[in-house]
Amino acid sequence: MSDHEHDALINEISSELKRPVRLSENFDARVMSAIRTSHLTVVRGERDAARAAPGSRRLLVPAIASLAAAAAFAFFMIRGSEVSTDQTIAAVAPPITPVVNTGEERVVLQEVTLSVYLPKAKSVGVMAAFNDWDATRSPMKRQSDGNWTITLRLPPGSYEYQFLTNGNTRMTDPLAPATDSEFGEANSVLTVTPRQGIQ
Amino acid sequence: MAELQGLPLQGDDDAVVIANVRAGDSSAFGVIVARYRTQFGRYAVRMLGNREDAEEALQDAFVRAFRSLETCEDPAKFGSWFFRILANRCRTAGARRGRRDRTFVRDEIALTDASEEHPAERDAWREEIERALKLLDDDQREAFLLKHVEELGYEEMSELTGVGVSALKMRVKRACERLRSMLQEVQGV
Repeated sequence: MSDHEHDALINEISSELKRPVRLSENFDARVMSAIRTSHLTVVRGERDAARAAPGSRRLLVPAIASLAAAAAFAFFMIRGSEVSTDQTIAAVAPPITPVVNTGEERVVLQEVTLSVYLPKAKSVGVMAAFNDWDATRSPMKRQSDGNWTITLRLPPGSYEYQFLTNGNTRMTDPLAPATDSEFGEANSVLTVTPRQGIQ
Repeated sequence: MAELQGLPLQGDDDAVVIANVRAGDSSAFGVIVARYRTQFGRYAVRMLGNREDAEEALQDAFVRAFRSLETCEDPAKFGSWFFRILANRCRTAGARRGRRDRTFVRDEIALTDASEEHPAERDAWREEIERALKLLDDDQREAFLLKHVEELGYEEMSELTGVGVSALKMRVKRACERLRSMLQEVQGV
């Protein structure tokens, strides 16, 4: 073993560098969100490929469908003019049902409103996989009655989410179903169905 | 001072978890993420010098690992396989960053356990260490971290990096010499 491996200074440097570092609290959730999206994309691509039988005129469809599906999965967020006064999540029947044409299938976006009663909060946002668990991308709007609301357009599916209050405190929706994530952390669950909008 | 043990290159039941993932339970991969995030996160932060880049590289590595899990020939040694992916992502990130100047040192200190006290002198010393580490060549920094922080043997380092043992020894030696040169004066040795 060479002398530099017995160097007291090097040992001290090493000791400092062995200190643990702390990653973002939502790091695991972000990774799993990216993995789920990746997984869904792969599954969808495989399914599309299976549909496009050899000789079919749809041979180019998978690529188009994947792009459109990705666009659909980017989910748009809008501020709703019609606001639920319920203190929990509430379905809003959309007057116009938005449709994303994927080339081979139609993804109908459902308009849903999240609402939570937090009269003393200074800010509230939604954290979920569809916004990379970044509440700043889905800020809620304070109503005069103390409710905070946001209207989203989402493809049918199940979404885990949390609220972020005052930029630093996470909480589940007190009136929505909750589940333990794979990391042992509870998330609220939002289920958007193709017709009913939300369950 | 709290220290973290070295890279977990083998997990007792990694093969079982990975078999579940391969069978279609993608959520099982969360076990792998939770198991490896801390130690590999430290490596990424030390290599790249800041949490933002480190998390990006680490997340990218996890996603790439998930998508190419079928190519992991020995799931019981997932850690070794994953490290090679992460090391490549760190090299790519380092190259992309190029010579962009970053003042990451203070951010890095903020990443340490909040319960730990940070006297001013200790903070200053840590800053100097981080600064010196940043000034090493990427190859030297990688070799130094693997040897002296992750405490791997040279054979193991060679297997992970694909670099010969003698070359790795030289990189570690030069890294130590440079660190010693930069830090001895600061430390007052």
